[in-house]
Amino acid sequence: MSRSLGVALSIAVAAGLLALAWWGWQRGGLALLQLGMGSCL
Amino acid sequence: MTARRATTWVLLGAALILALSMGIRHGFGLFLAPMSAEFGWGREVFAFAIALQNLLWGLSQPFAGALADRYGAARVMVVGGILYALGLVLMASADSVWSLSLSAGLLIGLGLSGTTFSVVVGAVSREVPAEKRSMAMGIAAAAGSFGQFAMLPGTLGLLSWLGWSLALVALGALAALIVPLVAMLKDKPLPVSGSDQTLGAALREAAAHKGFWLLALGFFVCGFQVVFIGVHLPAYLVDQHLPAAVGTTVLALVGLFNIFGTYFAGWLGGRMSKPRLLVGLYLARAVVLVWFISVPVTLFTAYTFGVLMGILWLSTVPLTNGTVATLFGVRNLSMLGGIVFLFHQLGAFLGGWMGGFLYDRTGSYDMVWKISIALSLVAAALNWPVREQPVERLRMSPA
Repeated sequence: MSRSLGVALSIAVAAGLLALAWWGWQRGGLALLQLGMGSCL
Repeated sequence: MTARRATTWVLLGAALILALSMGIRHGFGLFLAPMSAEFGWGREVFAFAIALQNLLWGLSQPFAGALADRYGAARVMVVGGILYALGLVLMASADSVWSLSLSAGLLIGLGLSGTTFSVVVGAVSREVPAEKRSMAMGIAAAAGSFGQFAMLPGTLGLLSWLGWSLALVALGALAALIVPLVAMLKDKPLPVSGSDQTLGAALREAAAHKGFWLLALGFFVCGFQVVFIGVHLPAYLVDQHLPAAVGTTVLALVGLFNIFGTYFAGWLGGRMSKPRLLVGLYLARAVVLVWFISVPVTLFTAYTFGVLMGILWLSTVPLTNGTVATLFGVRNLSMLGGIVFLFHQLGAFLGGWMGGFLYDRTGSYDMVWKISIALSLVAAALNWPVREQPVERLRMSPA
């Protein structure tokens, strides 16, 4: 894979992750709080 | 492409891989209730698979690191990404203790060891100059923290939209993205020269170095504390008559402030002695813990605790790995970092287990909080004598 394709993929993945997080919050932010949200390693 | 731009892309690729691998792994707890309910399992079935995952992750990390040092982190990450994705897809059709243990436990545990801190940070370290190494590690670790924070709502959204099984398949597709992202890293093992160590020599050198064991034992304490707090804090806050949602919000604050704390620790590590920063960090944890259990627990103290612990949470990662890199160089960093991480996972296992064990026997978490405080002081004392001085082999070698 060329470097430019890798860069395009990484930008797409970063944007996709942010969009997924935003969509998830919109869809079930409250449910997330009720389910429990751990942050341990 | 200039060296600076190349480094930026390596860091970006490493950050995304860590955000994906740590982020997906972080949402597994959300699958406990729906899977256990569908198959009529007690919580111990799912909990056993996750415990097995953590244990195998820790045990296989030194080996994954050694392979990364010898054959390049990129190859190990490709295999890790495939195992991770395969584990998630098989977990989607798991319907027994064995199939869940094989998928969520064995395959994902091995996949994590190929796609998380020790291997990824090793690749980053080999790419950046020594003076920028600590900050680069901080950025990579902060990306992992961000993934943990950001992927949870995404996982929940997928769960409520697709159901648990298809949500796992979707997460498997996300994990598979690690494979093409590895192209960003281009990590290759450092060229072998006549003066290079063998694997055994590197292990013997580290094993004979007091600082290596002191760092590893200090990291054990980190694992103990983060998993004890991550797993048992919500229940502790309920015991203190706070609503259940408060524990969740406190852990969300930990996750959020962890991003800033980890980056800041990496930045500081490039300017100050990393072992001394670790001493300060463990002492600060002790102070925060003493304060938290000494004052009446209110909403304000609980949220403040979340913010302060978040800043101190994974800040140990760039500082500990950075010190290992300074002491022994970057050639075998993934393997040596993997051994140190094994101690972290042993502490994590003990912290999670001991929290429940002592609570059941004493009726409160008081004893475990006190053990956590004492361990903080022990970790500070362990890191104090560590000198950030390269081993003689590196001092003697030409720059």
